[in-house]
Amino acid sequence: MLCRKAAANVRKFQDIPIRQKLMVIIMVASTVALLLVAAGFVAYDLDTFRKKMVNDLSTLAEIIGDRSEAALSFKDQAVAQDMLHALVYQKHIVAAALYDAGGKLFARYPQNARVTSFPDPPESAAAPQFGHDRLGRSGLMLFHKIYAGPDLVGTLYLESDLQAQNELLAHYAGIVLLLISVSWLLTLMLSGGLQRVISRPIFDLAETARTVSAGKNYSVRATRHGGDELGRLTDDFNEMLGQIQRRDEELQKARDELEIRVKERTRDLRAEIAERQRTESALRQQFVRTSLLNQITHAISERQDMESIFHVVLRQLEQNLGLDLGVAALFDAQSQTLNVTALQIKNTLLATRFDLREGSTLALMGTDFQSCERGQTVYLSDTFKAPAPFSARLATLGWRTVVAVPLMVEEKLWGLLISARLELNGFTSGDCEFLRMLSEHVALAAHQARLHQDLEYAYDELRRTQAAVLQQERLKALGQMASGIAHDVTNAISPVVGFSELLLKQECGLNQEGNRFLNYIRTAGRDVTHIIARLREFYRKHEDTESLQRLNLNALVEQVVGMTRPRWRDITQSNGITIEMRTELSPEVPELVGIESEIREAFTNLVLNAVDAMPVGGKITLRTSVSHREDAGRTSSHVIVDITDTGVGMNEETRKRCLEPFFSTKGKRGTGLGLAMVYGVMQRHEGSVDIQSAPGQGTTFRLIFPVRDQLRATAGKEEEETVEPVAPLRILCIDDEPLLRELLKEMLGRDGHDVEVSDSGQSGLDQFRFARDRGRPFDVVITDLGMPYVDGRQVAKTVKQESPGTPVVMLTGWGALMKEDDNMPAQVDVILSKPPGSREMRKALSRLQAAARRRSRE
Amino acid sequence: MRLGKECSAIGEKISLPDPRPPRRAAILLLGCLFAFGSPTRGQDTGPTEYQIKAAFLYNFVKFVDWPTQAYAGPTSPTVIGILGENMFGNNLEQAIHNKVIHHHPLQFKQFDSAAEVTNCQVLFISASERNRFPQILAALRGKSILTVSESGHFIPDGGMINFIIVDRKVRFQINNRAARQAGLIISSDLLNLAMPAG
Repeated sequence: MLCRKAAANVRKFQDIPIRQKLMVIIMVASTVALLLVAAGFVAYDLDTFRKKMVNDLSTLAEIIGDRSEAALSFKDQAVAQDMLHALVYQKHIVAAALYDAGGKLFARYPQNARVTSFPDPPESAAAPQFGHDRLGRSGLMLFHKIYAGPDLVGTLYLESDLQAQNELLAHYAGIVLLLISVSWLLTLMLSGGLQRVISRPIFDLAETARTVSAGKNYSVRATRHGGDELGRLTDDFNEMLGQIQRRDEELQKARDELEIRVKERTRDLRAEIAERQRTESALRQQFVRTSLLNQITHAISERQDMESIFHVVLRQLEQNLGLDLGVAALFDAQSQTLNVTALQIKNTLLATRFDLREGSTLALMGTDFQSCERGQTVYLSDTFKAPAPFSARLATLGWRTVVAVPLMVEEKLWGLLISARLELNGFTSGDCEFLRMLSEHVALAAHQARLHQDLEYAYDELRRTQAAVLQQERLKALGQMASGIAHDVTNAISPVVGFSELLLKQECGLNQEGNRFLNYIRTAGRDVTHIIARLREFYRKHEDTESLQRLNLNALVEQVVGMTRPRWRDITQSNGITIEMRTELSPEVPELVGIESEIREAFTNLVLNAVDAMPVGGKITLRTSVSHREDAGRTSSHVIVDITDTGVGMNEETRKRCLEPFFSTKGKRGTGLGLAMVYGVMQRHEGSVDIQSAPGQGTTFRLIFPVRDQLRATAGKEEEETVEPVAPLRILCIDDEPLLRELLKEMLGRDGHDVEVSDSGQSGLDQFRFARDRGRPFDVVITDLGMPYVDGRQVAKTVKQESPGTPVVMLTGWGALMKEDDNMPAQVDVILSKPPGSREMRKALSRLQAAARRRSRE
Repeated sequence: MRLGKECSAIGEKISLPDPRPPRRAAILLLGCLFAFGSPTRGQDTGPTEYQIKAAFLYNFVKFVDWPTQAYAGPTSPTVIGILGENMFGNNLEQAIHNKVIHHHPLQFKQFDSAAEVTNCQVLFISASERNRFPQILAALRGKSILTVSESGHFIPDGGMINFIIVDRKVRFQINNRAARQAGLIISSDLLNLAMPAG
């Protein structure tokens, strides 16, 4: 704290002017000197004074001691008291006391002073001492021993105050103060003149320095006042000013030079900056173009068709590159033409006047762009001067500059990108380069788009194929399943048909009505077997040889309308619904060869479906027509049967799947086999089914039958074939079905054959061997295919091993299947479907007999 | 009564509020015991009259200058003699025993008559000789002997120092004229102490 204050004072002192500083220093010095001298004198004087005081006191003590000897000796207190009282005249003595020889206080001064305020006398005398008495007063004290002769008679105590000394000090202080005041006065008067000797040169120096620093004028010089340090300082200062002046001049020179150089450099820098700005703007443009390119590339990479790619490119070019016209055209190498795919015109007025449209074609020869075919960019700086008519067309509409960049894929031109601007020389080399680059990207993207389209097409194709294969597989699986069912049903129905046939042939006393009913039974039975056969084989191609008939579709249609009348009229009318049935039959429909029962079934199915599709009534139209089509130089005719209803129609899903087996929209009422059967029938007749339907719009099933001459011919031959009579034969029939065994025995027996039957494969073989061993071998073996333990195949094999000449006839519900699968055993001579009709049987036997005859002849 | 006994037993220490005669009597009794029980002490505190007078006699030697012829030699003794009845006992001899003043050792002598008095510096003339003061003093005239007595008319008779009792204190009167006649110089200090001669 104190230190800080002192430091502050020093600082304050440092700030005051030199003149005052000098004065302060002189005054402080003189004052200090004066004070020192005064202090010395005072100290000496004080010392002398105190010695004198001590001396005086001692003397006084001596005197009083002498005078009080007697009083003490004779213990006269009054006298002693009187004597002490005389000290009144010694005004500095403040206290005094006499003690007797025993140290007891004997007399005291002042008289009224308290006894206790006096000290006890010491053993020996004590020299005067400065100190404090018992009352705390400072003073000079002494103890004086008093002797009378040889005897100590008492002690004197004297105490003097220091007032004299203090007075002296005060006196001295006054003198010193006076002296100091006077010396200050003198100092002030003297120093004013003296300090000028020092301060003036300093002020001169300071003034000169100020002039220099204010005016930056280094030519001024300070005045020299003498040869002392200040004089030398002035000389040095002047010398320094001289140096500074020289340097200043040099500096000025250097600065001028520097300025010239800076100006030169600035000029260079400006040029450099301008250059850089040019570069930068070029770079920026480049960047803008690159980002545009990137943007366009990005945009077109999201698109998969060429048209939209072109549109995007042209739109971006117009927006970002300021094209007035943009044309994208595909190149047809064969015809050497350009097909305009996309067109972008900035000015709408020009657009209306321009006769080029999307889809227009341009001959490459009519343009100036032929060199594009070799992958070159064509730049027409002035369309007026270009030779081709297309360029002239552009010129007349105001497009003066044109750039055409080729779109190349695998080094072949397939398209052009044409850009135009209204100004002459409207494209910079940068623009051209950019367009060129863009064209590569576009070409690539468009190429990719084309690849993508191809891929999509291939994928669709694949999907269609897969769907077809799937359909095929489904039908096949269903067929296999149906075969199993068919076998059992066939076995069950065969006796019905066989025995009713036998009955009819016998005409065994039945009346006409009985005969008619029996006929119905046989027809119905046969239909059942046909149905079963179709169920089994509806997805297969029909064997040419089986059940093919000449048939008139118009007649079949009439028949079906008649047969289904109860369903579409009677039942519906009783429910209050009216269904109108119309037929539009073309008289030109030729006769077809086919399986009448199947086609009838198909028609019936479709009609019933149509009825079911019209729960609130409507109209069913059956229409036949003929179409002729030219195909690869041949005329193919088709008979078309349309079955149209005005019912609820089908949605797309249903329409697609309705031909699948077991697909039904009728719930429990439908089996899901109706339309599948139609499909199977049409396939077997090598025709096709076409369905047109929409929900609420009704449905049209179109059945298309091909008309073939060959079929007509073979069918005619079969019809005319007559069965030769068969000589009686020994026949072994093996079947595990008793009714069938019975039927065969009866049927063959009627024709005069010798028939033996066996109920299993093993027993049949035993019987065969037994007969052979007995010398009455069988001429023919007829065996069922599906039997437990030893089946028809094994029977045939064994028979052929043991007697190769014996023909084997196999009866099966699976006959067609075996043929289809190409696994007809080599040992079997004939395969017959169940139920075996007597006519087929006869035919087979006669064929075998003929063959045997041929063999024996050879 | 029983109760009172108890009270006194306790009162020995604490029960002051009843200032009864027996206690006051006890204090008085205690005071008497002190008074008579220590007679020697009473004598100690104050010296006897003649002890003081002996000391005075000794002290007078210090404040009186004798002429040289009063002594036989520079170290011959200062004789303090008693003429008449010795009231001092041996107090005087004790007071001056082995004392030397101004190189003169002090000696005691008993004189029976004035005629015997020679080589004597201080002579105490006992009161028993009061009727013969003029004769004695006359016999001593011409001799430098400080005469001291303790009788009322000693000074008028021409004696030099006479002891008197004032306020039960021993004081003295001086006849400086007589002393000067005998060639003795008495210190003014001593003179200052002297009572005026009546």
